[in-house]
Amino acid sequence: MKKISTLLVLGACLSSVLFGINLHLNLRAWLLTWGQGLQLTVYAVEDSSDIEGLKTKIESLPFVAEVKIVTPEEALKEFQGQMASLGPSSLNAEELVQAIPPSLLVNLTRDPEGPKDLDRIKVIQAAVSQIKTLEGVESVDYGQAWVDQFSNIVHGLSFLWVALGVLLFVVAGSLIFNSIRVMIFERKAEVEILELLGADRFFIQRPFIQEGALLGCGGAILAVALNLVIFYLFKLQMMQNSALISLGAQLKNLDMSVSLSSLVAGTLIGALSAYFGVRKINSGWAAAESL
Amino acid sequence: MITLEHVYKTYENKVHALRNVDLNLDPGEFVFLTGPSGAGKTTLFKMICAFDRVTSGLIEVAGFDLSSVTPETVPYLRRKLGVVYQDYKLLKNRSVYDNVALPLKIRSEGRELLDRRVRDILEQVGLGAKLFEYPESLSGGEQQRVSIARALVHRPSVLIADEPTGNLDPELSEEIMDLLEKAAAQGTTVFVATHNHDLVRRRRKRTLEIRHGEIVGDCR
Repeated sequence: MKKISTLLVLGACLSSVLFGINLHLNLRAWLLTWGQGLQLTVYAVEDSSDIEGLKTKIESLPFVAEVKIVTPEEALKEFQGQMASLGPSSLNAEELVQAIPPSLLVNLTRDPEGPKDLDRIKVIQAAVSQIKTLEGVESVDYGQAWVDQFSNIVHGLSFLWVALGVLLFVVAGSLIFNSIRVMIFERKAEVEILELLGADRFFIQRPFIQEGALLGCGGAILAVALNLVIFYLFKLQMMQNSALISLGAQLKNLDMSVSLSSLVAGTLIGALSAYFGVRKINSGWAAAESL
Repeated sequence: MITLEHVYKTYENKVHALRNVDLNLDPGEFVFLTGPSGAGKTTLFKMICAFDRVTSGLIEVAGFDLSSVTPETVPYLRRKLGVVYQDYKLLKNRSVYDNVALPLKIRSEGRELLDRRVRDILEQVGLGAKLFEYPESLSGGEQQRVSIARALVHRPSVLIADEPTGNLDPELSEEIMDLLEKAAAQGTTVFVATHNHDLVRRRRKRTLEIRHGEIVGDCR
């Protein structure tokens, strides 16, 4: 009964760690998708006469795939299209064409060998900074507020999950440690008899370490299973919400290597915690005290 | 095989459990240790088995100087000993077979040799039919014999037995003593504490007498 309750708590702890890793990986994947499709709009200064020259300069920058000039007329047409339902009559003024600066649409490369995930955002931010320094550039727009905010959230969550993961691993380790200490107490007589028969430290410690490793492995198996159930329930909820279907479709569960690594990690934590629980078990003379 | 020189054991409450004990037991020698309860028999055995340290003096057992033995080397000394305890010290959650196999498992002996030796020794102590029973289902005498089998299975250099026939009927006691003598004939130094004077008289072996922690008699 004690072992089962330890296993359940252990499973819950490790499952939280796996859930955190899963959430983090999915957020990164979303960010990557967003970063891949990102388009920059570069606004030239109002009196810019050499828009072609600016285009050539931007095209020569790394990570730039394509640059397209958007004339004020094209921009106005687009704008009118977007605002048509709100007040089309007020948008016909010719002055508007004068007010809209010439701009460039910049697509960044989707180099499969290039930086992925969060680093991709850093590349975009670096490219933007570089474009801003070019002569004739008024401003660069890429929805920076959203991208920066989302990037910060992902970074923050990563840090939070690493901290929480370490904490939960420590909790799991101390659970196993205490469980092994109780086992030693219950099997004190057995340990003493083994000592009297000439068992060395390793012989006495081995069954406890095996027990700890088994507990850790069992907890990890439980955590992987629990995480699988939580994932599919979560995905199901998202797929049932029309606003979240596209995000839900992109959701991915932990791949086999992460699951296997968590089994190995659980087993190692179990064995290591048990080792710390039993490392002073045999002083060579302890058994004599009970004789 | 066992040498004690000027051995004293004094407990914290200034009780002298052993006083100036000198003795020497040769390989293959069979020796009885007699004396009233509280005379120091168990203390002497505890010192020889490195279950406790002497206050002063020198003890050498099976090539180990016990005054310099460390916690790391103690297990290697104990593997050369076979000990029969008054309270048997059997593992209740393991079968007779597993209890007897323990000293061989500790010495990492191969499965085949282990199996042969365990079955053989249990046959010799008359428990060949109770291999897979648990200690709690056995009588006191049977548990005593399991304890003796465990002490002999690894063919120790020294066998220490504290009242090995205390719970056995006379006929079985003789059989067990025959077994111990056989072990001595094969080179094991056998040191037996007993209150059974008839047994001592019949066996005509060297007998040490201990009183108030001192060896007061040594009859050969």
